[in-house]
Formats: sequence, C-alpha cells, structure tokens
Amino acid sequence: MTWLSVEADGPTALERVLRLRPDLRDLFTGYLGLLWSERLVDPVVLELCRLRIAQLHGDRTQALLRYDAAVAAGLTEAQAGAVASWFDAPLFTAHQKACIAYAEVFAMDVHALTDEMADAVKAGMDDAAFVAFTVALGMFDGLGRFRLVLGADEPVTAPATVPAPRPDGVLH
Amino acid sequence: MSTTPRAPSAVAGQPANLRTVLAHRPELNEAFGRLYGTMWSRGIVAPDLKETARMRNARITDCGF
Repeated sequence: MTWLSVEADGPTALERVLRLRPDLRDLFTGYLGLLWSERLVDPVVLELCRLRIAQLHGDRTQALLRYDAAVAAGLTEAQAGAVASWFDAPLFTAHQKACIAYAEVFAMDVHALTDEMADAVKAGMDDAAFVAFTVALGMFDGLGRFRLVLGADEPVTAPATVPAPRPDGVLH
Repeated sequence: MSTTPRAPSAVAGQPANLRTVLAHRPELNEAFGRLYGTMWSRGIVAPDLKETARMRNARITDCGF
C-alpha cells in the first residue's frame, strides 16, 4: 500500500520513491553509503543494529534482508536470526550486545539512553566510530519509518542478501 | 539522558555540538551538510511547513533546538 499516486523508474521500490526527488536521492545515498563503503563502523555491528531496529519497526521486509558488506565481514545467518533474542543469545560478543541495546533504546526512547549504555558502546570503538555509529542509527530509524510510511518496500519472504548502500549504488 | 557530552568536540577550543561532533568524521559531516543544506535551501515543500514540522518534531522528542 502506498499513499503516493506516482513513482519514478528504478530497480527497487525504495529507489522508485526516492527518485521522485533525484537531487535529494543522490545526496542521501551519498551520505548513507559512506557508512558502509568507508567501513566507519564494524559492518557486523551496523547490520545487527539495523536488523534490530527493523524488527522494532515491525518492518518484516527489512528484517529479512542482509547487507553483503556485513556477510563478507562475518555476519552469520544464525546471528541475524537471533537478533530478536540478543539478550540471552550466546552468538554475540558483549560489545555487540551493548551496541544492540543502545540501538534499541535509541529507536524507542532516546531520552532513556544512559551514560552507562553509551560507555559500553564506546568501550569497543573510538570517538569517530561512536559518532558514525550514532549517525547510522538515526539513518536506520529514519529510513525505516520512511519506507513504512510510503510503502517503499519489496515483498520478501525469506532471508536474502542484497548490496549494502554505497555512494553510487542502489538502495534496497 | 547524557549528563555530559557523550562525544567530545573534534574542533579544538570549541564546545561539543552537532557540527563539532560530526567533525570526527569529516566525510560524514560534509555529506550531511550537502543533504541538509539542499533540503532547506531548495525543494518544493514550503519553508514554513518544513520549519513547523521540525519544531513539532523537536517538541515531541524534547530536543532543545
């Protein structure tokens, strides 16, 4: 379902919406793509948090997609499948769990984030990576809501690997 | 919420704020500036409508800006 009466040409549902505003689409893709192409943050951590935020949004499509950059960096399907029960899952490191916890609260109630939660994330990354990580969470949260509101998602029924965002790439 | 800035300023002598914290990743800072600047300076949505939405979002999220 979409509230849009027209869509642009494009290879994915998200692109067909974003390309209605091609100047913003290119700048947005350039911004989001940097997070993945420059490896500003461990791609596995990024992907675990992206998947968890998709689950919190009730975004079944995005929760089934796996970005190739994360898979190449070591993300397993067992980990992706266990994100919803990360708290007591043995598949994640303490730092990965700290990052997922931070992502959860970021998306649900940003004022509930504590200094202790932030410190646990920063224990495994420098300030530059922490800044990039927090930017990424904002992108995942905002883009996820954008997709859901405008119906810009392909139907997916099983886990599928897709290219991670790149400055000159296609968004899924 | 944070009792102190959780990420320090990356600009010597300047306090932590959105610009100086993003400066830890200059490439992100520049890409964000291009996107955000274009969104505000051009487009087909009236500026007063964008600002109304921004202020309402800030109030709902209890953001001082």
